[in-house]
Amino acid sequence: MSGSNLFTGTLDLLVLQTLAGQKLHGYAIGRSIRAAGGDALAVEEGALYPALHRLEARGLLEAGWGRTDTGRRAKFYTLTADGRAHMEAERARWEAHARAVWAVLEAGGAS
Amino acid sequence: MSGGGHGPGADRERAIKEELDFYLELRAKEIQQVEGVRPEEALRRARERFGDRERIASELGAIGTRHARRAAWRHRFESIVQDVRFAVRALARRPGFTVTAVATLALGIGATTAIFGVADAALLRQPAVRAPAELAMVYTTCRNGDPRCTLSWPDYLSYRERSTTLAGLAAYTFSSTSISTDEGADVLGAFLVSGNFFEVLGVSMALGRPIQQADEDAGGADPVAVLDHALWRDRFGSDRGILGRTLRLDGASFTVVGVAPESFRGVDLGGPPDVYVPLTDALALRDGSARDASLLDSRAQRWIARAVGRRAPGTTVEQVRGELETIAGQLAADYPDLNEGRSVTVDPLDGYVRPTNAGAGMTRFVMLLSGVVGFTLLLACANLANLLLARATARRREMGIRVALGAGGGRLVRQLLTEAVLLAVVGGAAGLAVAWALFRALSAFALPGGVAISQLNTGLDGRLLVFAFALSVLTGVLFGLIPALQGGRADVVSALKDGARGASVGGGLRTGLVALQVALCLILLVGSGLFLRSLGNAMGTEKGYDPDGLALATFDVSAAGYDGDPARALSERILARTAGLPGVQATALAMRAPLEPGGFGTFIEVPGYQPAAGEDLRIEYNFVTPGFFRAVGATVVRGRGLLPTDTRESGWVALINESMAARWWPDRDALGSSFQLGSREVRVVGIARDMEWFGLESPGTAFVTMPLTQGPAPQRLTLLARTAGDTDPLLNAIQDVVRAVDREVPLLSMGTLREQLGQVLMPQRMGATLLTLFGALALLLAAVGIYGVVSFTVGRTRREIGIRMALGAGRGRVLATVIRTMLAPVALGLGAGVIAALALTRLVGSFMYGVQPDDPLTFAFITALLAAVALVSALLPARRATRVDPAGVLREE
Repeated sequence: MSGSNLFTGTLDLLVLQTLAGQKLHGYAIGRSIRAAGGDALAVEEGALYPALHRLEARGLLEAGWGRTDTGRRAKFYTLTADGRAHMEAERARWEAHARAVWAVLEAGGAS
Repeated sequence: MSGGGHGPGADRERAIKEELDFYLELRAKEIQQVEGVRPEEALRRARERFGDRERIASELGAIGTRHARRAAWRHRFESIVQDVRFAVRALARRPGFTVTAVATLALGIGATTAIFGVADAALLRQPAVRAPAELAMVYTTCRNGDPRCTLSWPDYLSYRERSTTLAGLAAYTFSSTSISTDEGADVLGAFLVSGNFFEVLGVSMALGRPIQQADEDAGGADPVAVLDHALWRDRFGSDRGILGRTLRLDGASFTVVGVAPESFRGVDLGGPPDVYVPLTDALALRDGSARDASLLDSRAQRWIARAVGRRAPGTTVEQVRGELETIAGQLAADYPDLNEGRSVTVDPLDGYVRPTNAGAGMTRFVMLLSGVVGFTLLLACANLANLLLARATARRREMGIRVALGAGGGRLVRQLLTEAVLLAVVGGAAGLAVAWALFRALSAFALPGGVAISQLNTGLDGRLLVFAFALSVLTGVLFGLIPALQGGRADVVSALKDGARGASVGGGLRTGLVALQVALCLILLVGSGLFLRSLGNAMGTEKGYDPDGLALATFDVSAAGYDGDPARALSERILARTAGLPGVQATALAMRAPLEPGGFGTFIEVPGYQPAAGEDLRIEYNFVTPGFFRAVGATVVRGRGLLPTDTRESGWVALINESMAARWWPDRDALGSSFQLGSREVRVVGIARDMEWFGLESPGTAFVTMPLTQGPAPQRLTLLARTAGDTDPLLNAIQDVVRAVDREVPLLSMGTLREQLGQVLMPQRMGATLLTLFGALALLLAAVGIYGVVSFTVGRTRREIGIRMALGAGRGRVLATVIRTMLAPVALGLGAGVIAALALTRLVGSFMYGVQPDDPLTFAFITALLAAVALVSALLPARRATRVDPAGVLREE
């Protein structure tokens, strides 16, 4: 298993977030995660694939083979309804977590 | 899932490789553009940033395999759900069939579950004590050879002290005690126990502490009691403050020190007592009576009903038996007058201890009931298999189409089996209601040995629910498998070609099932007939007395503290007041109630009578007031009855029964002669006709009736009162009389002689009721089965019948042809049934009264009845065949 739970959880969320509203293949997903500036794929870009396959096995993503604009065969991923619900729940959890961490940091700074 | 060039694993591997290659290729292109390096360098960098490709690929492979496996399970589950859904729809389409099937199964499974519940509680369950397998019951053997007799307290102590193979030996005896409250006196069941009772059994209290050795040693100095959990709950509302409270038991104060756990029901079948008290306390306090206290010292008084020992670690039952036999030998040597010829019986505990008088009868009776319900269930299965076979024929076209559409034969079998099991499970669920109702009905009955079913720990608990469910599934498979296998063998071409009119499915099987039903039905009906005849015979044996209109009330004056003359005076007062009640024709008091089990036996000597070696000289006796013979409706044949002038001051007198006169005075006149009863010389003043108390004493038992005034001080007495009217108001009035005379006097039981006769005949009644019930059900099922098969045959051969009628066959001929198809299976079933019944009824011979288990009349009648029912069941649908219109049938198609 690559990375810690926190790391895997982050990557999962980023993948889901990236796929919100679009159908992408693995390379495009990786590219937009890297472009977003996070370092979730800094250690090992290949870590993206276990994340994708696990999410697919859990029914959060749906995958299928299709053609790219240039006509190449590629495996495309889309978000399922379960995946969207999961993403929203996870995001809310992350935000709450972040707020809590922020609040602690603020309080620490004030004293 | 790797390796090979094809299969789902290889496909997955290829897909993974393609997906990863695609990434690396595009990534390399991106690096080439952004970082401006040559393609080879770009590909190297892309690979480096990607990480360990082999590891990632194998990780993806594992995820895929897991996913595929889970998907396969989900698929399997979904196809079962689909099968069930399909089955529900198929069953819903034929509500008539479904309701019949469910009702049949509910009766079969419900009855089997209820009887299993009784068998489980009576024979299978282990007492709720620590390691019951280590326990063994210890009895002394009687000199008359009875292996399970009671012990004396000194004998018990000898075994307890001398045994080293037993870690502990506890003693207890059954008793009753009156509890006084503001509402009056009530009778509780009590166990008088040795101090180590709970320790030996390994039972820890739900509340407080158990009775301990110190309590036994204290011997009445500080009396204590442990309550049964149910008494604590029902009478004291589970009040935890009960500890330390004082109960008035038999007029003495006992401190409650503990409450037994709910699961503990003692080790005897038939339920726990209400209260446990140390037997030393009970004896010391019971009116301080010298007789009772001496019980602890007397080796002659064998009043300890039960002794139960726990084997020491590492000892075997054989070692225990050997050691106790040695001790018995020592006791016989030390006390030859009392203990010579007595040994011990050691019974390892195997389930709850059955009453010693139940013998094998109870087991056999429970097995009989199980057999009856088993047969009924089997019959229900045969019936359903038959119905399903008929349906399978009707559904051949449907099945053929499904096979044509690609359903495999296995899938069809599974589908049909699913329907059967679904039916059975629904039937089983409905059967729980039947079981519940049957439990309630059964609780009015008792098993041989007097164990009331209501006293057993029966009820729909988890164990029974599991049993019912397992039974349902098994039943479903049993009746569903053969039709499913037949149906699954659908031959596409012929099914589609012939349509629903095609050759029947499993024709031979169906007639075989009819034969099986007829045979099972015959067995049940013969059993029912035999039980009904026994019951009728037994009812007719009430010789020498009149059981109707006789009220009985048993009370205990000693429990209220009366002894000697005050006890006599008090009982006379109760008798006089009862005699004054309106509508009372005759009254009496008796030491022993009519129908009370024997055990009062004693030995007599008759001057001039030379007994044969080893002859049993025991007689049964009773002490009664003068009105006794009139009250029970008995006849004094010669001499006189008892008189008020027969007192302790006048000479000892007795009435003997005719059997006794005939046996001891074969060629002399018994009247006026004397016999020796212990130290008494008793003169025979009258001869009474034998009273035959069915089942309790073998006919011809010698019986001596003596005046109550000449007997020991009364303790437990039964009041007999005869009325021409209704006994219920009389019983109420008697209760008021006893209360009015002294409210501390507990009424131990109230009822009528008729009711008590009913109790004695319980196994016969229960057998007759259940067998008749199930026999009737079986008859109905068999009739439905035959009707179904015949009407199906008629429907299928309409065309053939039409042709034959067109060719000139008369209605009678057609009718005969159709009926003849049923002749073989019914005759076969009757024959097999008679043979099986002859073998099986032998097993119930001990419950028969005045009828042989192979009674030809019963067999002939039942066979004829069944043949007639079969004929009518076949005739009804066969008549429809004769109404076939030849022209119409031939025009079809």
